[in-house]
Amino acid sequence: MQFLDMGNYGFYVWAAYGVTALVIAIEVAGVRLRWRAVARATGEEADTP
Amino acid sequence: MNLYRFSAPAAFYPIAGAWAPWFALGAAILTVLGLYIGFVVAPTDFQQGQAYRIIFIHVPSAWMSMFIWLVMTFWSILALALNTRLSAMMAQALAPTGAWMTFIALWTGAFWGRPTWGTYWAWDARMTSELILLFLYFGLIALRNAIDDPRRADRACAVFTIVGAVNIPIIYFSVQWWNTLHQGASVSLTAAPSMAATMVAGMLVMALAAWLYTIAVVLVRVRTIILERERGAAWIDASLIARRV
Repeated sequence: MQFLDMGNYGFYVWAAYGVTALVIAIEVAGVRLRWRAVARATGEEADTP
Repeated sequence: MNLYRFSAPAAFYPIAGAWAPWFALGAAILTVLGLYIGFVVAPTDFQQGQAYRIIFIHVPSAWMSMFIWLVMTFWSILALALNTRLSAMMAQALAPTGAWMTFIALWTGAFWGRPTWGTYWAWDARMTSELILLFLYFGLIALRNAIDDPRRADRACAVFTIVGAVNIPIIYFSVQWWNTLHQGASVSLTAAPSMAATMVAGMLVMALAAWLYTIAVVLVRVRTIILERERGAAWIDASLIARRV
């Protein structure tokens, strides 16, 4: 709990880190889904990555 | 070895596919290590308390936001000078990640600024020029989407990128040229860092992680772009038959 509290700066620290994690999740998922869709449309197995 | 060979999308495509997972793995390992150093090893800042820990993502993302535009400028110059397709595709693949990095830099900066400076946002030279960088990324992506012919879009985007590069030194030197809110660099090549060694270490590890992450994402994206744009080319059909792509 003390860790999450971040010396009363928890809101700011976790808002910064949380949104960054969200952005990375969105970008990685987007890139992979797009790859898969295009690879499938090209007739290739979506084996990697 | 003839390095020019890899400037052909057909030659680069399988290499990008083989390398991407390794860069992603490296990025993941370095992120865990960087966060460990940043949250466990590095001490609490005597002025900023725990709020300073935001810099472990703020500084790397801000560096990447500027550096990606410079890398795009490099590829754009190559694309214009040598008329190589892959150079333009690399520039195209970098733009979305550059925009995301810029957004993260602005967002984390706001949440660092509120507890430290007392405000989420100010029309300070560094922050304003970084916001302009975000708009330049949006403009570049919109420009590409507005032109149907990919080769014409390549040339237009290359010129836009090269002209837009003028904003990068403005961002970088803004803290020296104008005396507004944002502080100067805490880490530079010419002077000793003005913070604890473990804090610098955490920041540099996270910066390296951001590098590897960018490379991994861009490699997958450039593969997608190659497939989209080279569809129907003989090498794709041939390699599909061989199932070796």
